[in-house]
Amino acid sequence: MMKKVLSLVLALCLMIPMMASFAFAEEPVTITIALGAAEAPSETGEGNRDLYWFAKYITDTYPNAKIEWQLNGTHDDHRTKIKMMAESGELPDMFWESFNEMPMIQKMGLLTPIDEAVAPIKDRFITGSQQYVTFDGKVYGMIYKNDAMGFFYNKKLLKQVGYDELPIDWDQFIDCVKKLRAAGITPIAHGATDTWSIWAYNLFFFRYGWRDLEGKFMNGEIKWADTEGLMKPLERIYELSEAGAFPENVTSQGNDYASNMFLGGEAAMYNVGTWALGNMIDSAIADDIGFSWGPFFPDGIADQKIALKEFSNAYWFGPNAFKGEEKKKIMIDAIQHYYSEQFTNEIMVEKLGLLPAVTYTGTGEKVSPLFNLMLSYIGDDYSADMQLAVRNEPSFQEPIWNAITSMITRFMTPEEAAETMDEWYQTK
Amino acid sequence: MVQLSTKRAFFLLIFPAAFLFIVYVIVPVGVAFQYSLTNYQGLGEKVYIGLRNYQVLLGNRYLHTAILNNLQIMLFNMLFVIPVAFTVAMMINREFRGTNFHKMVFFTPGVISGIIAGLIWAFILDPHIGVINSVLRAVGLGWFAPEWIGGKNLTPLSISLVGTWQGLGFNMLLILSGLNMIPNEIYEAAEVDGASRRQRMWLITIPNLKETFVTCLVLMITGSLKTFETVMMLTGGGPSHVSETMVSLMYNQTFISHKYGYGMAMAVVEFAIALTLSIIVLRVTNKRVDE
Repeated sequence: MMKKVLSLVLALCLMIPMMASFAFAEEPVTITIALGAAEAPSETGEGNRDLYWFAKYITDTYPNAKIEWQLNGTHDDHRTKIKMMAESGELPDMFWESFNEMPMIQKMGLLTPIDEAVAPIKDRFITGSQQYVTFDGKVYGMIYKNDAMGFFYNKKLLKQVGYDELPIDWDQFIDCVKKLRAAGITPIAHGATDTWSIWAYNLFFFRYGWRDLEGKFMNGEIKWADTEGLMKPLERIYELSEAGAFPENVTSQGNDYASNMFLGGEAAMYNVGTWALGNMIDSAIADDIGFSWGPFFPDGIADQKIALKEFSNAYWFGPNAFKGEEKKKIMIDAIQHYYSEQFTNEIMVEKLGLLPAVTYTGTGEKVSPLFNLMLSYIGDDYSADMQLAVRNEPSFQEPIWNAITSMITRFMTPEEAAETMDEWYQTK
Repeated sequence: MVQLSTKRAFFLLIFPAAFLFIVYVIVPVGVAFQYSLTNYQGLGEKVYIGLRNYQVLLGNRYLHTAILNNLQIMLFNMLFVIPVAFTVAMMINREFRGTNFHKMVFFTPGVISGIIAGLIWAFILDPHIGVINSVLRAVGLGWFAPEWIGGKNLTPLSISLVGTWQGLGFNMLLILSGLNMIPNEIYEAAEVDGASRRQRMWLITIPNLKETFVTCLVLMITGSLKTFETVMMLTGGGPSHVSETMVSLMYNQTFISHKYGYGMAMAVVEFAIALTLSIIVLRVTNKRVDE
């Protein structure tokens, strides 16, 4: 009998702390985050490294929180999946996506505004960074980085043909390309199988008046083929190709090849954005790399001081993102932490080498000279704009990429490319 | 006793298959046609725009390229697959050591999925790291190493080549089974009559394989029209849409450009082309077989 009583008491003693832990445990919270597999969060490597640290903050700070990742194949697969989910009225708590679909999804009432999180810290944001994530006066997206796109160049190779820096005058630019080709150096590394890798060439359009012409073309007021401001950029890219600017095997290579070519010192220029800074900083040519937004055109009909400074894709929040007090508290805190001085300076800039959407207040000592150079370009007096494909509806993306790439490969003439753009308008 | 020959039993028996056929074939075709009359972009409302998508489609240069590529693939297959498959089938239609091994070797490409086949051939045809050009460079013929994929001229041809490689085994197997159906007595009688091997092939084997050839032809035509995975793996339809086939173009318009309405119009046109071709081939060949 005594044994039974003793074992019962012992069992109760063991059970009490367990029961107490159940009683005081916080409500478990699951946060679903969706993105393309190629952008999968990782501590190092190519994925969304900032998201790794964002998620780590949540799970370290809130032991009751669990992150559930939804990795949806390629970026296109991911985009299609997000569309399908939106059509069925369900979206993950947080997902990575570009701007152009979001106004429609917001109109469907499927996005949660994050004003409660960002309003108290609004002074930290770089001017213009909230422009593309604000609909009907509310902020819906968490902008995560600032991308500058243009021509990175190898000073040593340019010096071999008599240029200290990349010329911005068009005639000199073409002359430089020809001299590089004559010297047996590939002038611009490019891989045309990745038709999207045409970043710097977007600027050609802006410098020929895209801002004024875009609306007219989209409304059907003008035809691409009949408009000088739309034809000229195509002709200029074609001219570059004729001058031998691109690798001989450009038609069968992708952007990785182009990157390797430039970083390996085989090409003088590389059209890319600041997301490639990490690789450049780690490369053997890091100290020789310079940057230019791209050439000015003597017959350009717009202000030439325009630059591609784009606040890249954002993280958006589905209808259930703030559902439940505990979840809402965690999400607001995590968003505010993401934009905090500590996260921006130590993680985004100094650890990951990303140009943030909020002001960097660090000393700059812990970042490379190339990164500091890009910080100065981001802050210059050129007006900012974004890629043509990002500014417009998703279906515009493929034809504009194809038209520009066809100039690089010379698979089409500028006139034929213009026809394809007019054909696209017909399907709008 | 249950009478299975009644009308009710007939409908009862075909119902499961008919139901599945209607749900998974007829209804999707109808839905595709419905979407083809809209400007649906994957989100929001579907606005009906009548036959506008079809009107635009007629002038679509990429569709013309895709149809030409499909025809090229079809022609290439017709010219090479059936004669080569027939030759191979004749060669291995006899008892010798390793017959089954040979059959397996020829048939294996046919059981590999298009995606894997595309991947394998991408490593073979790639102009820079591919096996063919590496060998050419190694033997000092680097100047000749062409752009099998990625170039303007050879890309559609390379896709046809992969199709041929894949289709060979399956067609060989069909022809082999056709050969086994020909009674031996006919050959024996011909031999007694003094017919040579060539005469036996032309006057007995080939005429008796007519129906098999028709089956191969129909499958080849419909298969050529469906070419997709190989294209996606080798070139993605590029560069600049030069290697697009009808299905890859439809896929790109629908899922990459997000023009669902326009993409469905393409799908309907492709369906109509495939149906028409199949009917023509069946009519023509049935007539000839009957004769």
